[in-house]
Amino acid sequence: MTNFAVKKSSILTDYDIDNLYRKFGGANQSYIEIVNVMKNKSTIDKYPLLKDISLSITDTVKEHKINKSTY
Amino acid sequence: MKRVFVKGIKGGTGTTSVVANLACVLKKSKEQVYVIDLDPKSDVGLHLGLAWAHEYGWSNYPTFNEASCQFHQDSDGVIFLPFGSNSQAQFSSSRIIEGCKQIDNSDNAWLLFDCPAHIDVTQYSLNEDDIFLEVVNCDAICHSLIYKRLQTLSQAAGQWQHYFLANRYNSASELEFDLLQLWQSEIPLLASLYINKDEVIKEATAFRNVAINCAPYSVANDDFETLAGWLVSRVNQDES
Repeated sequence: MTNFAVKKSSILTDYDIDNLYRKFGGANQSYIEIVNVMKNKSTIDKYPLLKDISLSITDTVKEHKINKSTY
Repeated sequence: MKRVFVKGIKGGTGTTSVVANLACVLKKSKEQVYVIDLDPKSDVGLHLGLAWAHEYGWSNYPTFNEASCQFHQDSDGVIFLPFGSNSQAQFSSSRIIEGCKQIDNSDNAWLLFDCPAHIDVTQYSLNEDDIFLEVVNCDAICHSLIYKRLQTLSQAAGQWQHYFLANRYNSASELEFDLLQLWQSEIPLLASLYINKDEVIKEATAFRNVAINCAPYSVANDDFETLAGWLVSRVNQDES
């Protein structure tokens, strides 16, 4: 009765967070965003329409037609 | 007065439900709330208890002052102005937006505009204090439209707070889950919250009501309360 399934998650300590700051650049952000880049890429590759848009956006950025930093 | 314009990136994204539910949640938080229906479908009133047979709204009058007689108040105290039945409105949306400035100048007043999906945001004279919520669903067409919108926004002359708000999010859908994850890291201007798909919203509408009244402990109501709080933070950030 006491052997309940317990979900264990990793909890970052302050030390872990400081290490992340050091590894990925300064401690001037108020938060850290963790992005699964490979997962996002596989999502784009999986769906032809998303891939088409991604390729067009990449081409447009290369041609300097839109500046993403202006958002 | 705080102005929030809500528009779907395409038709059918659930914009009117968002406006009606958001209005009632804000009203429950002791804010003064006005809802203006700029959509010729004129269906905001259906969420706020207006009789289906009621045809008149601001579009049936030649001036804002005359149209003011069509302001209604729902049981929660939300004051709303239906579009009406004249799809060829006698005066333009821009004039009704301008006219609404004289409604209430108090700091805790919210003016929510339910905008039609076909409208171009640049047709409204927005200023830097205005918030423009563009409602999207997690699907491939909205993904395409978001990127097209980002291109037009990068060339827009005006300044306002523009956000994409994901509505009807179904976390059980692999596509929607993946798309939202992708958007959260790739799409600038994505609101840091989303509205979950919840049958309560449709059911509440069928009862000519909103989620907070029909199912106050629902996920939908939680989401709209989060949206209201987030909007308050956007306004306060703007004021600070």
